[in-house]
Amino acid sequence: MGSPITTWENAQAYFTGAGGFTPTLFLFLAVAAVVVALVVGHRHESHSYTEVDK
Amino acid sequence: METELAEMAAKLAALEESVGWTTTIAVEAFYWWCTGLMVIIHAGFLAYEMGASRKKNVLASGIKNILAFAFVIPTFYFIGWWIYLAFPGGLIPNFEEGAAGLPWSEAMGPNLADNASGIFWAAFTLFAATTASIFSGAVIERIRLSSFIVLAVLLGSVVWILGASWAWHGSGWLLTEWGWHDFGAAGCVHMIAGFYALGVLINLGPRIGKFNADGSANDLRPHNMPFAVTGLMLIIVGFFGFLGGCIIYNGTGQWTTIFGNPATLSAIGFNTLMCFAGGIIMAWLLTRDPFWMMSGALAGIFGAAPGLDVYYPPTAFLLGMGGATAAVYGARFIEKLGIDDAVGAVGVHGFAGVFGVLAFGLFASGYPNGDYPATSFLGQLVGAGAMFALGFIPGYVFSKILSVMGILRIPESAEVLGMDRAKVPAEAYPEDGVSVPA
Repeated sequence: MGSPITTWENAQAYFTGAGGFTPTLFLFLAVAAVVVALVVGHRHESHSYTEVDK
Repeated sequence: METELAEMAAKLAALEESVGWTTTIAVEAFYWWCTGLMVIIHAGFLAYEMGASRKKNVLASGIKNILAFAFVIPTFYFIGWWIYLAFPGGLIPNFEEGAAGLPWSEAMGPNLADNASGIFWAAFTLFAATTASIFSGAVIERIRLSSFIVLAVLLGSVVWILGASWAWHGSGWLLTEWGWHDFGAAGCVHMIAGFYALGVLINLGPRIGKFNADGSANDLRPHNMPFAVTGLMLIIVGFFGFLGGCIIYNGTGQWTTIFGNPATLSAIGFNTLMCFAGGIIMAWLLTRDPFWMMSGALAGIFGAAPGLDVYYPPTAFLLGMGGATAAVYGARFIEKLGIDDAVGAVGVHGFAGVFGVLAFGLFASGYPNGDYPATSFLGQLVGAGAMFALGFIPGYVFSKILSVMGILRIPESAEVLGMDRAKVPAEAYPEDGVSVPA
């Protein structure tokens, strides 16, 4: 996590955590967030339509 | 003397470095602004889609359109760029070529040694979102939002970009084996999105009230025609960014197309405006309807899009008229088949896209492609078949699965009541008594 570099001299990939484990963790969290958002949206939608039928 | 030579050499080296940076930054800046202009396409689609909806569904249509954009962006990051880089040869991925597009690649984030990956990813992400928005308009007022998002992600982050890898890539098999040419993406963007929408529409079914028992169609009119027409004009504005993103800014030499041939922005300037005008005039002659006039403008651009880099401008004007004709008659044809395309997306993007791709084969065969086959009608025909299949089959199959699962379409009660009242915690026109039951 944090800066992967100690100097800007000859720096290349400098995004947070580059070369370490955390980018993979955040990638999986981002994928999970997309999936969870979709599932929550689906459940809200189903609930709303059930309410209409009541 | 030696000191002077050393000073001159140092100045020359500094000058070379300066020119190199100017070139790099200019290329990056060019695609940055193309991407920014392409966001206007989505402002246009949002206005167009909400305007085309009836009052009772206007916010639900807006939400659907906005979420298509939002979900395509991260999913395109997760998988889309890798597909583009890995699949130019067909259906077997090239893992070595694709590696730079994997989301854990060092190229897929801030990197001082790479001024290209992010800006090209951004531009292609906007192309991806455009395909999802094209599909979005066709299915308004009865599709379930969550199923729509799944289908939009499939189109924007998988299907179209596979088509782009085949048909819009310097090593794509349609170019290397068939001499395919499609400057403005009439095939991989418009045909794929249009026919994907057609595949979904078949399974989704028409809106309640669209067709009568005898098969005749009713006109479910847009609730706000001025808003829809203005949205269409905004899409045209954004298309100048889209078409700018279709040309390669090499920095140190002439522009080239994705297919490697030299080109100029001047050519695109001539032909884009001419086919735009041809599309409007033809749609006006055929319909007198401002909604279709502006749709005709889009169809006119798609009718000439494959050859915007090479056409004689009056030819582009006439092809614009042809694109609009294909769109209007294409839309009427699918309506006669009992398919309810709420905004004419299949006609405008699918039929006009096919027209444009094939017209290039008729009017622009013989342009050289280096070591690859020259442009030809056969190459365009093969490409058109591939783009149709790549759009239609996934759209049909995946929407069929969702339909069988019972989650493709909203319940009839909600459709009659209106989607806004059923599930949106806001009102579009609170002083107006929105959500009028059908």
